[in-house]
Amino acid sequence: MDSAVTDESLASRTIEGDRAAFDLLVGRWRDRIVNLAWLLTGDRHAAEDVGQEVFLRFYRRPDAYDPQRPFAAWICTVARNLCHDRHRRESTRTRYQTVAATERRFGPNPLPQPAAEAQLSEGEAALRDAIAALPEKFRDAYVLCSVRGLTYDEASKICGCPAKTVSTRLARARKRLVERMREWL
Amino acid sequence: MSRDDWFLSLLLDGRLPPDEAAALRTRLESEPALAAQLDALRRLQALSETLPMARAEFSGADLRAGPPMAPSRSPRWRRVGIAAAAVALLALSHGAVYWLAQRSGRAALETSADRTRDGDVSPSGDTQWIAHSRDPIETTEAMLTKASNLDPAAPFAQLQTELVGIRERVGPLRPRLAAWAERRPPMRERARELSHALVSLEVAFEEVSDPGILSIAISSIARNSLRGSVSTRYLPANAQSVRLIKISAKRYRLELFDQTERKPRMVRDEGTLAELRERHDIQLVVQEKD
Repeated sequence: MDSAVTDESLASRTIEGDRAAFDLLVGRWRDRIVNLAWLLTGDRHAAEDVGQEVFLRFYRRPDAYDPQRPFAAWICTVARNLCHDRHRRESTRTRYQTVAATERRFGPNPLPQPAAEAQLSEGEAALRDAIAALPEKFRDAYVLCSVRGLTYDEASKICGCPAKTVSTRLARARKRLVERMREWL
Repeated sequence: MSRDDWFLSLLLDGRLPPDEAAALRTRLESEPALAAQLDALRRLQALSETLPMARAEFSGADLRAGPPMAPSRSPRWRRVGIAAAAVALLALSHGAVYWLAQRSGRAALETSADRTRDGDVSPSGDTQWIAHSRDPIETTEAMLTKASNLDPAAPFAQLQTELVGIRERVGPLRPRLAAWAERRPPMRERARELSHALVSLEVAFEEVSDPGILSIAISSIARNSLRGSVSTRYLPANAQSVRLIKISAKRYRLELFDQTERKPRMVRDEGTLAELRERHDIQLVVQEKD
């Protein structure tokens, strides 16, 4: 299938029952969504779950997406909301913690980890921890704008707030991260 | 946050209006502290851009393998109401059964002292919860008698649900079982089906001094995910949890939280069922629904 086909067009075809279009959309977006979720949840495994959940929701109820809206903003919003839901659920349960928190308490996991996670340098791991420790709104702004490279306007549509608010949240997030990451900067 | 912090952030993103940007650049030349702040922001940005990215481990075909979710037929308030009523009914019925058992003098829920004497050091709360799931008349002595008549070579009975069967297996765990006396029936009422798979687990840890089969009491099930806590009278506490998550057509993620040892540990691993079985000495029985 042509790479020039837009996401919106593929989403419309998915709504009409085209499975190949769904597969192509998943192929295009899965890595981005999993990485977004990884940053928002701070947990690589949870990110995989969230990634699957996002696409399953779309597959099961494709009409939840309005083809007149940009697909990118819609799918990122779904992923963000799922991450927040998950974070709230998990925060009430101490049993399952982030990998970082678990390892702080129990020592490093002796088992082989997924490739990307194993390659993290200390600085990168510290940055992920620091991002995960940010308040939800600041974390959204930082991840969407600074890491994912979205504009303030694009991020504002996902966060549901004005672009100016995004910019101030981003500045606050950066300030906190610089303070926390001083050792690595 | 100061106005400078905000402006530096905007400058970094190229979003500061030209006149403000020019003024800030002039200040940056004369104020080393401000320049250092901007440098730190730039280094943070550079580090953020080099974060390694993960590769997702699923495909569209994997996701489509599960059955489509049936559309909701009732409004949310109605579903919530039904759920609340069910919970209330369940609580009432449990309370009534417990009260009747106590009143008729048949409450054979063992006391902590009894359990300790029998080698069970579980806290009363956990064990009592399990005791509710079997006949409260049965005493430990009766269980011992019954258990002594069991044939250790016989396989566990196969349980049938409406859709698939669950075969409880002992297999290589059997030689390590200290006694059959405590073997309890599977908590069938706790078994649930996933949307496209049924999962039954038996876990054994070599480290446990008094080994036994650990039954999984399923506490909640989300899509593709089963969460449960391990409850058995062999263990010092209801202190283990297990989670098996289907992450692709053939791969599963296993998370074990084990604090039965002095030093608690969390184990996470991924692989096929065969690999997980081998690496963790775990009996995994997963039957896919056709």
